[in-house]
Amino acid sequence: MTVATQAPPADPLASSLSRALMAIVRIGVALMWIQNVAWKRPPDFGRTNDDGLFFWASQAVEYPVFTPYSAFVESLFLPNIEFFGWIILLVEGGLGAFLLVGLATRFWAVVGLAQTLAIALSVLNAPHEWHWSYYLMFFAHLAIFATAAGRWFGLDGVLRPGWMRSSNPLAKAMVRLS
Amino acid sequence: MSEELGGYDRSAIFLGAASLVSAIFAFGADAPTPIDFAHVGAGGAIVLAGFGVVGLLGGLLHRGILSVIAGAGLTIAAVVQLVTLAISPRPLGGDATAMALFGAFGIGLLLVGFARRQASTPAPTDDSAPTTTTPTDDRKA
Repeated sequence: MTVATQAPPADPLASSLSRALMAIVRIGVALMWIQNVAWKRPPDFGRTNDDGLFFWASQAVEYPVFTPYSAFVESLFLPNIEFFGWIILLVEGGLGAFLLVGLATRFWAVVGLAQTLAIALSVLNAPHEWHWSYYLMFFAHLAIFATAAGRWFGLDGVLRPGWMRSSNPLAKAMVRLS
Repeated sequence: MSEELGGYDRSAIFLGAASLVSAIFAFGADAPTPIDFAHVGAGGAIVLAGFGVVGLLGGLLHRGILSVIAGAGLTIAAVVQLVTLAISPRPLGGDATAMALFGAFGIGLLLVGFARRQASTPAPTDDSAPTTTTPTDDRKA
C-alpha cells in the first residue's frame, strides 16, 4: 500500500512580496486616518457652523442605523461634543500614527474596527454614502489584524524579539498587542 | 545580536528619512484632495526635517542616543501640537495631521533608540564586578 504524500501548503506571507503588499495596505489605511483627522477641529468640532464632526455625528440621529446608538449620540455625544471630539481626535490620530509605523499593530487594528463600526452606525443610511466604503474599511482592518501587518516593514517586527526576551510586563503586553 | 542592532539602525534610518520627506506636506494645502494627506506648517516642516536628519544620522552612525534625541524632539512637538490645536495661529502651524506625523516618527525613533542602547549594553556577568556602559557600546554595529 502506498501513501500519497503532499507538501504542506506554502505560507503566502513567507513571500517578501506578500509582506510588502500587506505593509502597503497598513500604511494606506494609516494615511486614510491621518487625512481624516484634519476635519476634527477643536474646540467645538463643528457645532457652531453645523459642519465637521458635529454634522457627521448628527447623521446618526437624522438617518438612524441602530436606534440605541442614535439615542446615545443624541443624548450624550452631541451635547458633549467638546469632550467626545477630543477622544475621537486622539483615537484617529493614534490610528494614523501607530499604523503608519507598524507599532502595536494588532491592538490598533481592533481600535480601527471599533471606530469603523461607530462611523458606519453614524452615516450608513445618510444620503450619498456608499455603504461598501465602510464594509471595506472594516475588512481592511480585519486583514491587518489577521496578518499582524506590523511585523513586516514595521516596528513590531524590529522590536518584538526584544519584547519576547524581556520579563517586563509592558514588553509582554506589547508581544500580545503586536 | 549584531543583526538585531542592524535592524534598529535600519529602522532609525527609515524613520528619520520618512520624517524628513514628510516635511514636503508643508505644501499639502495646495495639493489635490486625493493626495492631500497631511497639513504641516513651516515650523512643523522644520521640526520634521531637523529631527528627521538627527534620526537618520543616529542610524547611519550607529548611535542610539541620536535616535532618542530625535524621537524625544518629535514627541514633544506632537504634544505641543496637541495642546495648541484649539488656538490659532499655532506655533508649529498645520493641524492634527501634523500631530499624527510628529507622534508616529517620534515614538518610533524613541523606542528604536532606547532598544538599541539597551541591546548594545553588555549584560553584567558577575555581581561583584558590575559593568558600565561606555560611549563605544552604543556604536556596536
